[in-house]
Amino acid sequence: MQQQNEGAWSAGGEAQETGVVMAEPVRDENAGLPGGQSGEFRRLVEFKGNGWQLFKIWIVNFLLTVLTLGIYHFWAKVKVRKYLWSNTVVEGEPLEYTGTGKELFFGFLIIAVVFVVYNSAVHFYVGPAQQIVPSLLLIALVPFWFFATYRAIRYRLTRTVWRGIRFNLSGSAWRFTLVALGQTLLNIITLYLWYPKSRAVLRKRIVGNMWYGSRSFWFTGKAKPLYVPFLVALVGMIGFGGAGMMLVDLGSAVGNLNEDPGRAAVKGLLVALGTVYGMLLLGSLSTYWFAAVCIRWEAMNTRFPGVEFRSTITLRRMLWLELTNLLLRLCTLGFAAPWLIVRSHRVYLHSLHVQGDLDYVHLAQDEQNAPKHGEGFFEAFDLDLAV
Amino acid sequence: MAIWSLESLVLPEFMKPPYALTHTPGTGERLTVVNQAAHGQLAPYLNGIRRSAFRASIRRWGRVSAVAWLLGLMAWWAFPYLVDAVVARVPIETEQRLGNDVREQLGTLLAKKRDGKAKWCEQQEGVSAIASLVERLSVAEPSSYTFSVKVVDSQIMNAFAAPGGSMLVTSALLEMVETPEELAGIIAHEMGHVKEQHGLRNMAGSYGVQLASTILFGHDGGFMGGAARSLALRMTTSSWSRDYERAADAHAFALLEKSGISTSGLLTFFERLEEEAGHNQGVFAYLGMLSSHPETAERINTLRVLVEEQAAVAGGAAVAESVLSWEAWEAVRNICE
Repeated sequence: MQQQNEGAWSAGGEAQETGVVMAEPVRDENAGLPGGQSGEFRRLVEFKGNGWQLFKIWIVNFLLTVLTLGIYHFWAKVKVRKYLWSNTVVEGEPLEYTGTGKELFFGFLIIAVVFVVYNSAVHFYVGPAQQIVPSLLLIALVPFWFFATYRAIRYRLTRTVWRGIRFNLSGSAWRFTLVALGQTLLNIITLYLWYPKSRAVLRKRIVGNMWYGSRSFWFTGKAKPLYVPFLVALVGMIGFGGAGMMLVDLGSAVGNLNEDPGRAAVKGLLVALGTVYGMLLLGSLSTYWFAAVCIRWEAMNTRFPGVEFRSTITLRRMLWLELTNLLLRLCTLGFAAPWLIVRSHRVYLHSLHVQGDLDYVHLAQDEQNAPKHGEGFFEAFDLDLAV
Repeated sequence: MAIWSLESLVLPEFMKPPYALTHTPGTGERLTVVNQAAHGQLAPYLNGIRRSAFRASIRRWGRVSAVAWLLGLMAWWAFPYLVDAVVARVPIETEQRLGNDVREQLGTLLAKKRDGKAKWCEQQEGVSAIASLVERLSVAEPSSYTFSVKVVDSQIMNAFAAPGGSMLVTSALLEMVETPEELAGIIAHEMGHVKEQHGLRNMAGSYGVQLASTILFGHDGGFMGGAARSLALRMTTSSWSRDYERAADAHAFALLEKSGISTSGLLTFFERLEEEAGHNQGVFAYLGMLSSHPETAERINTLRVLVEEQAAVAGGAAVAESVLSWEAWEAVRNICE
């Protein structure tokens, strides 16, 4: 524990495999650390990234990706993550992302083989049950999707370090897959009325297996508070979507264009498409209440020894963020993406609040193994968590 | 606190305070630089490390780029051979099944809808007249494919050869055709595509490009991945399609000659097409045809030379009798009734 130059540096503490006692963080007013009184909620995270810096990273990434015929892609991804992680400052200390491009690259090489074989099988399968086999193969993707999700969460957590101590996700990805499949089945059987409950079950499984150093998180959420907003979202989606389908006949609009290609038919098709997409947009807006409630519910029920979390995200702030983001994206043809990412991070991370104090003295590095390779599955399934 | 030597320091990628310094060997210890004042004091010592790390990374990625381009050029060169090898391994039944599916889908896409269903033109006499034309062309040159032409009722002018011998002609194209010889020319052209497996090659090729780009850029590639993918696809397939059209023209000419059908039909049809396109009426109808059949003028010239050569060899007596009777031709023209 050391303090030099008017408290400008703070020793982060040691975290050796031997479990050396951790140093308490230096609380320094100049550094803008939040006050640490227990009993009241304070902001947990300060997100310091800005769009222009991220944009510059993007440009360099783009050029290098082109120059290396795409190989740099994986390293580019790591660079963006390192930027986002290191600008996420928790209680005065930044997160570190320790993943490497090499890991993502090899992880993807492994899955690329599976991907090629699978894709070729779906496209070119000839033999008995020719009609059914490709769709069966597609259904076989669902368990892989769950499996991949779990593995990717584990990968990201193990590559996230705070104060020299890393996060982890224990438990078996196969077991998670089984549970998730069971929940999906229940959702289908109950026409998705089971969905809030399944969300609670899966969340509990993930959070309950999450570790920071040698200490585990746990989850206390029950499905009940989710039901009303979920039903509103469901009814809204079905209502607006159905209305969109009823208001316009997209099929006949396309047919008109075929039969009499011309200005009127093109206009008709555009109007039809506009109505359908507009209705879908309205429908998706009705799901935001549920989304906001979910975030608050997840934060509130995620527990760690000594601390409690809260999210102060509100429906109004989320709607404003997502609508303006959508507009910006459309107006700039996607070039504003870095600013949009930064905006979203700021809103969501700044809404996270914490109460209580970490027991810094007893935090130590865990003994669990981290996965060797990266997120191959994720790449193949076109799935990405926030980043 | 331990003493860290300057050489053992590992700098983070981004050095905006607060940031954490680590060192090798990784014991998990961190030195967090909390604010700008601290950074200002440390920066003179760290900048050297930063610069040399930057140079090393530039050298490394320079080498990787060189290797990537070398491999890329090799792949570019080997790609057509690879596609050939793949196409050669596709069994003929698969090709036919695939072709039928493709024709069905494309026909449905192009067709006028009657009560939500695509209208295929299947008027009996017309179908058998076209079948006899196809038969005459098939007999002239033995091939392992079974050819069939289906007509779909559509305003969009197009003729299309799916793999395995399934061909598609739209009613709009039939209206444009003035003589049986012209129709024979079009069918011979499409048969050329089938025999040279252009459709299959195109499918395998674009599939390969997509696969390669997915492997390199990932699905999520964002705007760079998407742009690169479509650019690569466009570059490969459009350069192929020009070659394919020339090959199919040459094939059609030879086939017509072998079956004793006048070769001028193909030429007159193209000329009319060019003329109509020049008038620029109903842009939509011709867009599809012209975009996939580029450089019509150049092809017309090539064909004209061939036709003139043939006429010169035959001493001006190359014109054969009509390939279809007047009744049969009328039936073809009314195939959609």
